Amino acid sequence: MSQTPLRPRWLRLRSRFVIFVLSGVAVVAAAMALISHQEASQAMLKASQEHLLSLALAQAAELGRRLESVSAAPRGLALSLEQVGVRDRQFAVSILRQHISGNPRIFGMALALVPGQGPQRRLFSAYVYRTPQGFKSMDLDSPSYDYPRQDWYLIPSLLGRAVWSEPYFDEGGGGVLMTTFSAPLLSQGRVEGIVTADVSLQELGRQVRSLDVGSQGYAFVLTSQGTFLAAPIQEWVMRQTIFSLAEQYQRPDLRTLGQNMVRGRSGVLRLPDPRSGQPVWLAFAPVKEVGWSYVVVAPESEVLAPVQNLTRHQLYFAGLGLLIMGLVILVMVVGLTKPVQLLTAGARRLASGDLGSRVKGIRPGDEVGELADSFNTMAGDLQAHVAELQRKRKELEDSLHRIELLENIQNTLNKFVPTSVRARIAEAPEAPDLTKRETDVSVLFLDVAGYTKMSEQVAGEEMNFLIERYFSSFLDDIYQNKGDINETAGDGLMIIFQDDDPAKHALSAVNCAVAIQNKVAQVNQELKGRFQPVTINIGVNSGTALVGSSRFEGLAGTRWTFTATGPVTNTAARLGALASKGEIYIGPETAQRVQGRFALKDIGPQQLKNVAQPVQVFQVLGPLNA
Amino acid sequence: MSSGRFWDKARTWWAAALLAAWLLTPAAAQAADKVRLQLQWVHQAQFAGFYLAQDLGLYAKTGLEVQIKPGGPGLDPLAELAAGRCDFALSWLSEALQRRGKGVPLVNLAQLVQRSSLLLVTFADSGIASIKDLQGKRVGLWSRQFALAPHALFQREGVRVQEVPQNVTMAPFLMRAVDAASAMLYNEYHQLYQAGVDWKQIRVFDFVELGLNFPEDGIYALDSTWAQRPEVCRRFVAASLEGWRRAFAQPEQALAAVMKRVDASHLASNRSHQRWMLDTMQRLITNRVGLALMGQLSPFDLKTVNQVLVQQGFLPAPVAEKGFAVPAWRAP
Repeated sequence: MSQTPLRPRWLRLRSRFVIFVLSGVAVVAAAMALISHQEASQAMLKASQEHLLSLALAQAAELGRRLESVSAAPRGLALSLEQVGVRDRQFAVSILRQHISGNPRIFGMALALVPGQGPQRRLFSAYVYRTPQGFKSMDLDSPSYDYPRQDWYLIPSLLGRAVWSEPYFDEGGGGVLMTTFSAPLLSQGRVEGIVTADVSLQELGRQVRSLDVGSQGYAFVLTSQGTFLAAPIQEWVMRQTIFSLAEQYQRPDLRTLGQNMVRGRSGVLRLPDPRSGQPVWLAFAPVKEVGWSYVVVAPESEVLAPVQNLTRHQLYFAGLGLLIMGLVILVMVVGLTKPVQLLTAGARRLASGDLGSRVKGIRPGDEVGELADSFNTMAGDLQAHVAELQRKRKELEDSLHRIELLENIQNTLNKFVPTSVRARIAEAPEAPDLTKRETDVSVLFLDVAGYTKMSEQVAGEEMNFLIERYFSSFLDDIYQNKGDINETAGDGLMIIFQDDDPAKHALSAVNCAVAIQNKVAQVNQELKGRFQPVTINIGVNSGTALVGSSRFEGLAGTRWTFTATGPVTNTAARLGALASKGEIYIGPETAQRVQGRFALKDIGPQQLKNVAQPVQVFQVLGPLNA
Repeated sequence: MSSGRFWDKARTWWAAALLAAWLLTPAAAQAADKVRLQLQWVHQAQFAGFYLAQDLGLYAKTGLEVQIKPGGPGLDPLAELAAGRCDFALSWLSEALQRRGKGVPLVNLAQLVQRSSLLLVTFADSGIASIKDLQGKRVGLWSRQFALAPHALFQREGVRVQEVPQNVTMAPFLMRAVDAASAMLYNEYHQLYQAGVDWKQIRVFDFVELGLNFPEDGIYALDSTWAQRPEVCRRFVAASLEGWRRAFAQPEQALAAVMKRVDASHLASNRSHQRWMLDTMQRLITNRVGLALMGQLSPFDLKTVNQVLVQQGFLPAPVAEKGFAVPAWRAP
């Protein structure tokens, strides 16, 4: 199974927890805030619109009432004059004055009769108006004025009903913006004259300008022709119509709006301000009495101000809530991760070898507490295990040390242990088969002639040197010929040769003997002049012997030896003793086996000590070069 | 910048050329001739060319110091001319012919407006589809020459209408106190639009289409002025016509000149209305003659107006072209 390596996390648990939980909370909070904001802003916008519209409606109604109160006078006067008729100018002036004084809103009143109807039969008119000095009266029937052509006279005359004139700048009244209400004086359905009342619109302009429509909002009034009567921009008053603005700013929507206004409709709508292009909310309501339109405008930013305030508050509280939430989560996460950190630190200490390290300060009772408990238990177990391990290792070390010692001993002992014994031990180290067996062997005895005499002559130290010098020189030859040094006895050696081929070990034994003699001669030559030459006599015999360990029990312990016992060995020893002057004597069996390889001299049967029968002895003269 | 240097150079050349022109102008050497122009009406784009000629120094360049006198309701420019209160006056051809017929010795120096701009308007929903439908209806008519063409039309069509004196506002029409009203193409017609009436809501009777093309604004002077100071007349007319050409070429500048005067006179008008008027004036002035022959009086139009005036009894006999139309407009 192939396992892809896990990508490491790039955020710590603490940050991850805070981020995940907080973003989740934030999403929910944002969704809720959005929904509530949407609903609230819709409601607030609706409320703002309704407020604007109701403001426009209220102002329009108020303005309508004021104008209506003005129109009452000429209406009433026209009605009464229909009954009593116009007697003369003085009567007309006095009755006009009477009506003006009864209504402070009226600037002036006129009575104009249809030509041919009045006392003068041609033109008859009287006009009474206010001045700072009191009421004044005048005639309007001058040739340059020609009142029958004037709108205030002409229109109600033609229509036979009362009308409000388009506002105008009254030149006689000091350029004051005026509007005139004209009521016809009817007699049997025929218009006999017109009664008018002039109203100054100066006050209206002030009122419209001072209307509170927020800090940036404004109001204006349009006439029935769409002309600005009162406007935020004085320059528009009586010069621009909403339609001329639509034309100037190429805004067909304004034109449509204006048409709705002059048709006496009301409404509220959003549109870009023609000058600034900023969105504004506009509410309009008809001033029914005169056919005007009262309009209030508020920039959308202001209409939406409560919504924006609400949004700000919501954002503020959402932010605050998130902050608190974040803190709560942080505290919680710290509470959760602190034990983890403690555990991590404990594990680190443990990993760095401080097995006594235990995690403290984690309250038990919850999962983390259990984890800490488990950790501490685990650390305890681990410590115990490691201690046990330490102890075992110590033991092992001791054992190894002993083994080392043993190896050293073995190495030393090896020198004394016959090769064949070593081979046997190596074959089965647990239970070496060292029992004696009948084996066909060749046994070589080597004897230093005159050893006793030599020991007396030479210092002990030097004697030892000599022995080692000579014997060491033999060792190589002995090993080469696979001989086992079996016994050393100061001045002599017993060497056993074994092989599956009986001829071969006999040959090896004789070869070894010859080689030893050569070495002796060689060493003698080397040491010539320093020491007396040494003579070594050698005896070799072959045949079956008991080969194996011999055990000697004693008080000091058990000692084992490995040797070959039997008549063959005895004979070999006797042959060695028989030889003198560096001769090599071999028994008949050996001689037979090496025949043809060495030059032999038959010395004849010899009586040997502890041997019943005389033994045919041969002297080895040297190898035959075959 | 190379282009900047080019323009600097060009400006230098222009300055030099203008200086040379000024030095070579004979009038410049003399003291400026002071003349007065009487307009037919209050300041508006109907007179934009004259304003621009003054504001651009075209009059001054030709050695004239021109005083432009605005008109208004009740002011009769030709009466002002006859009384010597002005040197030049603007008037309709029909009005001028009548005055000359009555013995006022005036001459037409240049005919500006080639085409009648007088209209009769009705509401499209009034059911009045033709002149004949005006029978018995209330029709707003202005006085004097404004009523000439309508009267001729009604006579020709055999229609009897109920005439209602029309004042300066369109309120009677808008309030439907009258069934039809007079309107100038460059003024009242557009005022209706600015009062919220859509074009398609108005039905228009155009006197040109009805075969009664009465050329309107022309520049008039007394015979004596033309006889004694023909050069002043020529210079005045030439500079005025040049002013008009500039006004057509640079309408924004012309509009600025108009609005400056409108604002100064506290007149209840607005820029978009004046723009409409200027655009319309261009069509009226360059109609038939183009820019090159601006000022020419069409003998055919003169004949038409003479005919109507005689028919209507306003003239005993047609006014002869000779002696009346003097070619002050034509470059010498």
